[in-house]
Amino acid sequence: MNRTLLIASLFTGASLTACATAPRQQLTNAEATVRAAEAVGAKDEPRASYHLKLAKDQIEVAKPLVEGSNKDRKTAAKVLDRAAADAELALSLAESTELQNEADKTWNEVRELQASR
Amino acid sequence: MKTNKTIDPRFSLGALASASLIVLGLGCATTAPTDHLVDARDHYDMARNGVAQQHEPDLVHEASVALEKAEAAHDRNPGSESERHLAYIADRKALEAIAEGKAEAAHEEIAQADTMRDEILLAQRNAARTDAERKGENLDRTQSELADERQARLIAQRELEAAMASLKEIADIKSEQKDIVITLSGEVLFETNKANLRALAKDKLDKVAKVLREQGEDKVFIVEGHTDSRGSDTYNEDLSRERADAVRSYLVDQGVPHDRIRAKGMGEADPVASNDSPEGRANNRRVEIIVHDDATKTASR
Repeated sequence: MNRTLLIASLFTGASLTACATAPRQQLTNAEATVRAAEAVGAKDEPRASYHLKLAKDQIEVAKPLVEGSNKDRKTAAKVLDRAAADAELALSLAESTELQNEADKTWNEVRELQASR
Repeated sequence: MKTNKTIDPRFSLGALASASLIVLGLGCATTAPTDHLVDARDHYDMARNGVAQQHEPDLVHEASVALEKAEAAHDRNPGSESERHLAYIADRKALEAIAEGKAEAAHEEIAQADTMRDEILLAQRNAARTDAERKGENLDRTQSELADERQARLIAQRELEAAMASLKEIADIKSEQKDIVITLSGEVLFETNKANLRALAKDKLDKVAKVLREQGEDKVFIVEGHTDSRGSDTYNEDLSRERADAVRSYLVDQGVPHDRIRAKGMGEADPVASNDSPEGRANNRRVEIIVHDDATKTASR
């Protein structure tokens, strides 16, 4: 095999590997974000729960495509982009609600202490 | 070659009218932005003009970049699948910036309320002490001082117990020999594959800092970052060290003495569960904060 051909085939191999691993890595990341969102109570907050469900549904759609043809993997990558965006949003909404509840609780404690003075 | 066709004027007028209608119809259908793009624009405006811009300008910028891509797709091919896809992402990014902005604002509010609560408690304690001193003027002075000391110890103990109880709600706490090990989930603290603390992580670490500040001066603290087994050893070691450093820096900012706390990146070397299942891997991605009472033993951990 001449040098040009060798480089070309290595490059093609690397590109194919990169294409194959990208959606797989996206799937792993999206699933991790879904778990993090669940851990901070996304299921208990209506808006977070809505986006969590969208993320999970899209992950299910993408799963069988991740190991498929080149076209399938391209579709999976797009679906997983959307799933990740929904999962991150669910996590942020759950975080925001939890922190707001915590802030309200702390202010209530302050008011009770002030009243007991 | 020239063509000379005679066109029936009725057909011509009818065709022109139909063609105009089709063009108008198509024009309306194709130039109007998709619902996703309309939402993305509205939510981006909210992000840019609200708490998000104040607290999370980087996320607002990310939303802006995403919206620009969606607008470009709309300009190229209005109503296309590409526009729909990019606008969907842009909309979520704008909403995320708003939520994170609110989270950060709430985090600041909690810190303010905490400070105010501590000030009131301190004032109440001082008032109670002054009152006790006034009433006990006839008591023997040594006895009074001893009682004060006992009272102070009791208050400190109660504060530590309260801080520990609050921490137990958000972290796993174990006693290992003489050490206390506080474990926090990596996914809750950090974004995937990053070492930036989430807003909620800061709130959890505030509780950790409170417990650490209440510990005696004979205690030292080690922050250990751990990953699962995916990725190279070097990558995992670097990520776990960066994460441990981020936690240590935050705790130091919250008043934990910098000379009594250090950070270590453990990589994937010390799993607590099997790396074969997603649940096991999630458990392995974690940060442990070890409260240790003997500096010489700490070095050998």
